[in-house]
Amino acid sequence: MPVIGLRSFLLVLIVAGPAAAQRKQAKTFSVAPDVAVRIHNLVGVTRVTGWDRDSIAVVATIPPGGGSFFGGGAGRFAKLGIEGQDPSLTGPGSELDVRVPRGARVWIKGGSATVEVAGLGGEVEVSSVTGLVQLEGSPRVLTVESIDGDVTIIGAATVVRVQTGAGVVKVTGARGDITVTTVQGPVTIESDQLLSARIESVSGRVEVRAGISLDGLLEVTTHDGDALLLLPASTDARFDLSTVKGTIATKLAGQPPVPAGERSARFAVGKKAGAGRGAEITVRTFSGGIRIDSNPKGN
Amino acid sequence: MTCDAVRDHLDRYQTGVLDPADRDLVDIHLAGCADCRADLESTRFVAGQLGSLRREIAPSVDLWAGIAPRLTPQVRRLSVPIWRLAAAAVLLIAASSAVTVALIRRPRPEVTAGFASTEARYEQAAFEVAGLYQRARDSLAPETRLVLERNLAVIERALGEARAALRTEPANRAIEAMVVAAYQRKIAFLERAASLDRDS
Repeated sequence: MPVIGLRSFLLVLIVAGPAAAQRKQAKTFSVAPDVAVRIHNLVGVTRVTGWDRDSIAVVATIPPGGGSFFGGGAGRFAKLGIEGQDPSLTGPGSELDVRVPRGARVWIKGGSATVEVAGLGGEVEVSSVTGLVQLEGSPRVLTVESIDGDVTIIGAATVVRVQTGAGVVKVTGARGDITVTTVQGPVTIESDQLLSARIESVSGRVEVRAGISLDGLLEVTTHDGDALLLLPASTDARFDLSTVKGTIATKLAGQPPVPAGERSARFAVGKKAGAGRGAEITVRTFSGGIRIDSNPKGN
Repeated sequence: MTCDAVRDHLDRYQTGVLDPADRDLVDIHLAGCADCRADLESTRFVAGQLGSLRREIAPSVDLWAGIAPRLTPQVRRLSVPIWRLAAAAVLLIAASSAVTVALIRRPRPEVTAGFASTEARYEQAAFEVAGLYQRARDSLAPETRLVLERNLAVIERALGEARAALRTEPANRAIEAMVVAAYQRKIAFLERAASLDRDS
């Protein structure tokens, strides 16, 4: 065999080796459009995508030692995932690529696995420990519980509940009822019109760039994390700001800034708020700084 | 030794049961790794907290032994003259009235006393959930324990700061609310931690 031919052959063997060692399994089963699906994959990647069919299709790619695939269901209940994984194994872990009906109620458990969800309109619940969680779309109810993983949510989910420890939380586009709780993780909320948001962190920085609807509610509480609110100039709201040891700084259109050194401030901005209505914005910190600015981008 | 390997050893390192060879390697690593030193601090902090927990809550003595004899009717002959009993009753009424007046007149921060009992209830709840976590802890992966306990250390620090501030300003309702919020956070986090299973 010529030398170049032999090298090419060896290269193909090296590249193909790991892929050949992986097992790939596929399964499809019919279910109801509002099926409840439980998905379990602790190490690796789980991708769940909504589609316009009344069936679930799964492709599992499992490396050596990555456990074994299980799955089945019919009608309104299905369960699938990888079992027998060794969480201490290093390596990429198992990949689950799952298609489910758009209106499905989906529950995903992923220890250190990355979880990616897109195109769902029902209820989604993700329980993770350290894995990344990324969700796109407009589910009715979205719940993410993690200990340390980053959480990114893009889309107009109606109800959003996120809890994490040191993970970074970013919620973009949600308009309904948002609750985010972190220990150290910074939180960023971006929305053109928030209805209700409660954000709480111990030491994470909280940043909200959002319009608040006229009957909206925004509550931010931190211990020593800073709180920054960037609001559109059209904001019509009553503000209640207080800190025990931190600082308060405001720069809102048509409103004199809170004097330096004040530990609390209550004021109203806008016509309806001036008449005792409008949105309610409350920020409390122990030693974190509070800053409220008009958003130059206008939101 | 890598950071992962060092973290696996931190529990045994901080309790002094790591074998000397590994201990030397951990020492060398810690000398040059700020992250692992921070992890060691978190591990020590949580170990200290957990170490102070009782394994179970039970009455220190069998209360029934003290209660049962009192439930048995006993007839005793009155050997004290009636006039002495009457005098004692008058004195008792006068003394208790004086104590009552003193208590009413004393400038006492009612809110603080009320909050102390609220705090005691939260403390008890946190203690009980910490016990649940302690039982679950050994079955968790070392890296999960580490992550949990780093976060718990942050929550505990915030709680400590809020409580210290409340001691300085005992009538400050805003700080009271922060202490309560910190307890709630601690309890919620411990509940989640205790619910994690072996796979995690």
